[in-house]
Amino acid sequence: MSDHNPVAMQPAGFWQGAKDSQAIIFTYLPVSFAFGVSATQFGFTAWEALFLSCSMYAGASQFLVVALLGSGTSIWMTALTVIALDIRHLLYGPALQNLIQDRLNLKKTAVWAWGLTDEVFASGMIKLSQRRQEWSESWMLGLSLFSWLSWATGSFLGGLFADQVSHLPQFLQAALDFLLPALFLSFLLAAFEKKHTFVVTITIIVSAVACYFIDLSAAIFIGISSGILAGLFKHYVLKKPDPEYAGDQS
Amino acid sequence: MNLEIILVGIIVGIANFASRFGPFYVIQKFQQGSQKRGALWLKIALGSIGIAAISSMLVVATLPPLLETPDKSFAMLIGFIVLAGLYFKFKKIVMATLTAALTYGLIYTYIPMPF
Repeated sequence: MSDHNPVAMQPAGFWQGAKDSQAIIFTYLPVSFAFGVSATQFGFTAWEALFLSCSMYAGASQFLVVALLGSGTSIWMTALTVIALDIRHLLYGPALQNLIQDRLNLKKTAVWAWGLTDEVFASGMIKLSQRRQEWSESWMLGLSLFSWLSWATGSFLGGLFADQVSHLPQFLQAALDFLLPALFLSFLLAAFEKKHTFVVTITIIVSAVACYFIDLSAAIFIGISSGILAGLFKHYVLKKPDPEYAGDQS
Repeated sequence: MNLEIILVGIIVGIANFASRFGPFYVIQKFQQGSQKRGALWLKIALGSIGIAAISSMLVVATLPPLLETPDKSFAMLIGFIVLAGLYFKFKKIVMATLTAALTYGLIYTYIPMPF
């Protein structure tokens, strides 16, 4: 994912996908561990934390689930809140399909799309935009499956060893807080090309404002929407089309 | 196991699966037997989603802890600088991410910069 090797241009397989999931695994393990710890603090068991991670696989939204259920919120209100938070995932399929451009094996797609979290989507998008010929459904399956396994494993371990966290050195506990911002900056650096400058600038400004004045989950959706509008504005109003669209006039 | 947990897990799991796989299913069925690609504006919009999503997620992962604890600003700045330097030098995401996180942890713990 992170290397730029011009020689290897054949489709990558399942195990390469598993190998390329390393960055996500190293981030998911501590974050999901924290979820397991949080679940036990709200009175849930390690098995329940594992079940939630296996069944909903909703990342940060899972923290909200245990907090809401733990504070007595109804099942339906909890479910609706989390579904609303994750509605942005609807955009990921069309965005990837736009880059894939081939027919997909729907049975295989159903399996890897189950694990299409923010991080898996970002990895898949980087692979498709930079080395499309290496992308394959098997690669995506390896990436998605191992990311999911690490999330589930971390949640279970967090539930089991919740009381051990305080024994970690202070600097390691602090380092865990920075893993997600660091991973997303890595993804941004890997995905960024000069043509993205306008879209990235607008998205960062708008999502920061939305994050400050509205809330986190709305900020992601509003940020993505502003990025889409910025892309259209750049093409149609500023008349600065990206090279791949330069010849099209519709 | 708590029945509430089982129900919420199943309901949200089905909804998440639908939102992740549903669009692929619809697009595949819709495009069946057709070579026609979408309109240009749609291609541009879809092409912007990926980079916009990553940018938004970076902001959402960074800003709330920073607003809550401004003392983290210096350590975060150094963490991001280390990450960018390592990434541009070696092009390795895992190494850059983990080293930056460790750098952040060490600086935040041992070189506190109150704001």
